Amino acid sequence: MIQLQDIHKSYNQQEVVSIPFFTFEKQIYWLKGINGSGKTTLLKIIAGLLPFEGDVVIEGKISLKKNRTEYLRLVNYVEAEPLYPSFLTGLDLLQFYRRTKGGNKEQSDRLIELLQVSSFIGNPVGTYSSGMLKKISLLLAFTGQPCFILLDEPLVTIDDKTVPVVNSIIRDYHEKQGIIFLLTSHQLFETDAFHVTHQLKMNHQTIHPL
Amino acid sequence: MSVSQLLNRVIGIPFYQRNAGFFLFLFIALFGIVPGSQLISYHRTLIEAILESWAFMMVVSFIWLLYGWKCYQFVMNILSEQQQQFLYLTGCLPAREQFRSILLTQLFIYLPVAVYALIVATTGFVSGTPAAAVYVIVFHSLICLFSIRLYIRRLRHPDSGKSFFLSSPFHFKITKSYPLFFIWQLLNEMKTIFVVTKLFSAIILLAFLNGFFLDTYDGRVVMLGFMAGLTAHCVMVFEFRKFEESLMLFYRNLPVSMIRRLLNMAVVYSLILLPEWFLFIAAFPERLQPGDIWWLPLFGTGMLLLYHSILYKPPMDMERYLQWIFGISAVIFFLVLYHLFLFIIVLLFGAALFFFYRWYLKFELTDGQI
Repeated sequence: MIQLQDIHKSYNQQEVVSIPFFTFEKQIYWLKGINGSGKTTLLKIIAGLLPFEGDVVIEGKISLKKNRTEYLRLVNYVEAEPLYPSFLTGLDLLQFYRRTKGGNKEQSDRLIELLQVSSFIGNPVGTYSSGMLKKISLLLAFTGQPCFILLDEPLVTIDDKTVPVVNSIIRDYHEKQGIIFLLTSHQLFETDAFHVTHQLKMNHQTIHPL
Repeated sequence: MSVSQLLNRVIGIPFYQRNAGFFLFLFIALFGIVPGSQLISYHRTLIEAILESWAFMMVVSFIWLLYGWKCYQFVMNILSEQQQQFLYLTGCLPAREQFRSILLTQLFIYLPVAVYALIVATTGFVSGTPAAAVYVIVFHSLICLFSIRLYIRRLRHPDSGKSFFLSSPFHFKITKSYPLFFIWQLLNEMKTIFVVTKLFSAIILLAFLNGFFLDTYDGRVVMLGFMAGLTAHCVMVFEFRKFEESLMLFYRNLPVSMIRRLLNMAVVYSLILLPEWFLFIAAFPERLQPGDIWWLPLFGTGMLLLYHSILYKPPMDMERYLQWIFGISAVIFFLVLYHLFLFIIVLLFGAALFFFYRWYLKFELTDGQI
């Protein structure tokens, strides 16, 4: 269970996120909203990338503000358009993530195989197409032992063959490990891939259940 | 809008905008360190030295070459950007028109060096060293023409290598840790800043270590010389912060403690200052006293770490940053005069720690910054 507690975020005195209280249960959430509604800002807040007022608390005890390191070990995030230094290889990034987020070789090998990145993971990311980069960023998002995974537009730029693979990883991680997912997507998720139990809408700076 | 104007808007103007810090540093290094009344005679002496000594000419040619490389890399990186793909349409223009447009763009971004080279060449013809003058003209013409040839090849064959630096000698397949990310960034994307900074730092340090300014040994003079060399690193530190907030943003989501994050940066700056450490070791024991060799590395790392930490205080802009550096240098200058070496080191690390803890989690890059 993850709680958003009195979250506020403003830019130039204009409030973009204002959520008094919200609880994420062990479910898969699909966050919808028009461009500029604050979806990505909310995801970045929960991922610890942006300063904000309020707090995010896991299981009532691990707070983003008070136990930041422990919190970040449990929350993984992938951006809609990920950016990495072009001289690093996918393997460099994976090893770096494993050293910080945890995770073992079996998990990495399995993800490399599922996402079919073995042919290019050893090359610098500067040589990747946007789809290849997205696959690597998804691989990193599934690395470690998170309890909450935030995926911003996970299906954008990846090929048709990979979409069902990503869906099945999400389903597996949720069913077997009880991981909570918060997804944003303008594309429709296949209804038979996994059960999106909650659809949310970002509107007027806050979250509304649909 | 003509093709030349379009290229200028996409390549020329952004080149100067993105490298504003670099040009400011260059301007200060060339025109700011000499009193205004001696500026012309200083540059006349410098130009005459270039024209009369082929060894010096080679050193200067190397620096010019680095600038040419910087221009080349910038243009190639622009051509690699997704949003600039429309530029490949210029590949369909008649060869003459395409060459003319790209030549104008190359001359625009090469202008600072071209102007200086023109003055050097003119002086060469006037002062009776025509061979050196002709060499300068041919050298710069070749740099420009070779770059233009590579741009045209890229525009006509978009798949001919995504980015040249990826095949540069500075790409090795070894496991990289966080501090090494910065060293790789320095060697791949910031070569010119690296070489210019280190040359400047080495010249100042050697001058101070060899008693250029004072005949008798005084640890305070060495420390002040080192401080001047460290100040030259300010552009490099600024670029590192930009790198951290753009391509290393994912690091904020990783479970790394605050103290570990700061220690990682301390390791980065210790590695950056390795050339200076070698100079100190080479100068020991003849030109450096045993006590000084211990605190100089701590002083250097602490100073650069503080430069880095003050950039977490928003907004991150060069003008405010240079004011901070000026203030820090003034304070340290007086503390050095009073021999308060230990206090200086504690102060530098303490202040770096304070700024880092106070602002790291509050920093956010917004539009208009950097």
